[in-house]
Amino acid sequence: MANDPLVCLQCSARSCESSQLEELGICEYGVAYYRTGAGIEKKESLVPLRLVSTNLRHELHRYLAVIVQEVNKLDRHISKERIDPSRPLDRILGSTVIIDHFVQMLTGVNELHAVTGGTPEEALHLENILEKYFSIHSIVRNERRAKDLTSDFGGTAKVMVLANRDVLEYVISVLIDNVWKYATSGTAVRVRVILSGTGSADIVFQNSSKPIPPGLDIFSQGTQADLESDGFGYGLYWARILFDYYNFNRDLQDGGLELDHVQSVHERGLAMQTFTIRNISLA
Amino acid sequence: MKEPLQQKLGRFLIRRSRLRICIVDDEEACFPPLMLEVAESAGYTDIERLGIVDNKTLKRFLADPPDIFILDIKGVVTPDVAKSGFDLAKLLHEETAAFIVITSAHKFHLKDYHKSYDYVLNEKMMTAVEFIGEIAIIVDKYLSTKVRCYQKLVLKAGFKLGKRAVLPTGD
Repeated sequence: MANDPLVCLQCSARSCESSQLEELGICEYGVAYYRTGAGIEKKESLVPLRLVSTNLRHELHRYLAVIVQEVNKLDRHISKERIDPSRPLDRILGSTVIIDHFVQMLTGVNELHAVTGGTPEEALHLENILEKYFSIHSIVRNERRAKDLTSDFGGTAKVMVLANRDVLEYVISVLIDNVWKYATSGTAVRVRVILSGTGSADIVFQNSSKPIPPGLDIFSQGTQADLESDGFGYGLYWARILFDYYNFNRDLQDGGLELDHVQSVHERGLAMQTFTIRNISLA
Repeated sequence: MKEPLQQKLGRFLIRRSRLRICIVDDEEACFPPLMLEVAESAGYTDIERLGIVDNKTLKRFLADPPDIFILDIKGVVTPDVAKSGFDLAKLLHEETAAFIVITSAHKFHLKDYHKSYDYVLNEKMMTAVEFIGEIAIIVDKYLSTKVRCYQKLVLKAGFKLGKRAVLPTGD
């Protein structure tokens, strides 16, 4: 529509279009919408969410950089790429990575709106990324999270993937975080790569957990399969949004990045959860 | 792929000389003294660290540019130099043969500006070890394009000579 806020022009989610008659809501980009019989009225706040989020990120980033700098003074050889959860300085550093991710979650969709051209692609060493986030997400410990998980990332060491590094790394982080939130303690987390033979691959994540109730859409915003867990129902929703934007910005109708989930329930009251990231370009 | 002889020679000559790097960022925490100290001990002995570029510094850059610039894109230039770090990157990219790296906390924004840089440093929240890793990648990319940089210099020199030949001398 001619009077729509600018942010709507680049929106691929179109969540307002599934609203009911006389429904008043605010979408994930801070645009208020109201469904009338004649259509959808939309209005963005006077200070757009994207402006707030952009500045918020800039403000928070400098404090995170100070934390990293001070940790580095105490250990000159420390690196975010090799986090040892048993070391206090590594735990501080690893926590800054997660805080930075949450800041990106708050601001990232709006920043992604600014992407109009192609992006420089960088190869990503899959096993390193998996190990990094497996360690980082083990830092937080409480009664609800899994304990004593082991990683089984065999066969991923030599796989270099070529995609939007930020997006793919973020989604891998979300999936590994979910494992620590929902997996059965003392089990193994298995990640495998399936090569397609056409220069692309799928990454398959598998872990054991309580069964997810049938019919529940775990990719919908706010969905909580286990109310006693640490999750609040945003990670998987956000992962799908990131992939939607990745595909939208590159005009990929078919063959774009996808994330899907399959559950197989076993007799002993446990289930195997399988998440697959599809259509990843190999370097 | 086999590396051409001239590229091998270029790499050899470059490694024999001291590499000059200039980092411009208004936030001290992003490239702190410790980071530069560790970089120095790793062999990168000539790193200049600036918070802002004024007209005098710009003239120095244009007259005698370092091999590599690492430029933040926000708050790093005085108004008489350019509107933003992007404009400075564009200027240095066009007027010198230096290898231009741009960086920002707003990393998604960087990707809209393809023409003004040679490399994007995506990660700003780095430890010294990660910085050394990034510098190694940047230097490697710089070395692999240096032959083209020499060609660019020759081309620019050619243009200048060509201009002098056709423009009135003012005599």
